[in-house]
Amino acid sequence: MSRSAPSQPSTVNVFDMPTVNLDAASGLPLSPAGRAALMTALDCGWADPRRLYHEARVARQLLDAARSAFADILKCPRDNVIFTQSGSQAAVIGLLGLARARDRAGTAVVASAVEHSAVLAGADMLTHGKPALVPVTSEAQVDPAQWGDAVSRPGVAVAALQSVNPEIGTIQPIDQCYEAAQTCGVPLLVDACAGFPWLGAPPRWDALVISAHKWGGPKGVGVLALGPGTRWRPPDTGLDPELGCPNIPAVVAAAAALEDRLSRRVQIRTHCQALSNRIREVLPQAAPDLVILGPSDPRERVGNIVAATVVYSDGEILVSSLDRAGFAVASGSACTSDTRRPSHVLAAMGALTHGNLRISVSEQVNAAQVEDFLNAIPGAITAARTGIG
Amino acid sequence: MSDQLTETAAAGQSDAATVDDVCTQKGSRITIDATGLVCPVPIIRLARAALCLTAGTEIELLTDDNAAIYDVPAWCRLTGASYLGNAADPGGSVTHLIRLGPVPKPPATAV
Repeated sequence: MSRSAPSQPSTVNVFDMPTVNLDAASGLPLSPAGRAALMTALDCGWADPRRLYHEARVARQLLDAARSAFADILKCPRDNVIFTQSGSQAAVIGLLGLARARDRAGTAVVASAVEHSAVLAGADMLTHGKPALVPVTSEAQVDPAQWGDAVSRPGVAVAALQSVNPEIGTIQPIDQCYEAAQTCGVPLLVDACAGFPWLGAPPRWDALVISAHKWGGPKGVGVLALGPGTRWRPPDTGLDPELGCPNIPAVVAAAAALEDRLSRRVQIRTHCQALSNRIREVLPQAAPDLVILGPSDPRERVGNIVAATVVYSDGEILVSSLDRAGFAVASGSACTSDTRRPSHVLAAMGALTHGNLRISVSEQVNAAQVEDFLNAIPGAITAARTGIG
Repeated sequence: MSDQLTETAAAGQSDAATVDDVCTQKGSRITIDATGLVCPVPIIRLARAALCLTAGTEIELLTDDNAAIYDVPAWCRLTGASYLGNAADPGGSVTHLIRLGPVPKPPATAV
């Protein structure tokens, strides 16, 4: 190592930004541990790991260490850890590779109706727009019996299910669904992007997808992990996510940020759970006609996401008003999206798609900021309900 | 909850003409034209109309908002109304047919 510690960054420190980030489920800023590792690896890991000189060997060691770190955490062989440029890319490549290895079994793809759009895009690609989508309850949860029925039909090549729904926070019955797929010989890809930072990896999976910026690693790092016995045929060379070589500084930072986060997992969970409990308790009183979405049973939802519908309100005005008040939140309403289409998750749940809010917390949010948010929300709701009808 | 729902819909702004227009329509089936309006406005018009109508009244809601296909059935579930179906109109809009129910209070998580 040519330097012992990273120098003070000269860029804007995102942790001092005035906006309170209540959109933590979309991604976190780079954590201090991730930043330190990134700065070091930028200096030490720049060389081509396939070359035979000193700097290249250092780069190779850094890459191998990052891969080993993920393999240890995910309990899979090191060579089964594939670095990609996003969680979305990992999901699509994972799905394609599993399907290619099963092309003699069939071409059908089973997925829940509330999967991430990248998973649905991959499923569409494989099935010419006709994936078998398993419906969900009004709490965004897959029914294991319906799932079992879908995966047991003839000709299913692969199935995909999220461990946690990122828009609602619903925990899927992943192990029951794994069991059903395994019984039918169908490999299961688990999109754990939303669930992994909160729950870790589920006990069983054939392919697992995670994304580093969800735990304070850098943006632009996804991981596709394959179980020890998983049959997966790599995509054509041109689509190989590790073509050339991975972004070594970024994957090193992703591993360091994850190890740091895992070391504080219990305290982060306790902290976030207290904040979201407070939001769940107070938010319904902020205005009439405010409905909390997702499972009523706390065991069936993660403790960092609260989703709600503010009935008869304009989601875009709601989000913009909260932004002006200093709070960043997400919305699945059509008026807040680039496509002007409502969230397919809300639609699949049978929920109202207008006036949607997703509030997600992290360890970077404190109790006083949550109180400020709860004080600000009635005004934002009034603004989003006035003069729009 | 359901009383509040209609109160909120009515309180937002004064658009008495629309309410009166709907409320003066005779018969057991009335029509609301919400074409050209985007979410949540068609739902607000629907909820406001429900204020002055009795249980069992059927409402034809004309809309070209692409969220309405999800939001109208969801509003019916929330308020205890019956969603009777929809039909595409030649001009590109959709007519949704709703029958107002006794409006029972929904559970907090059922949307």
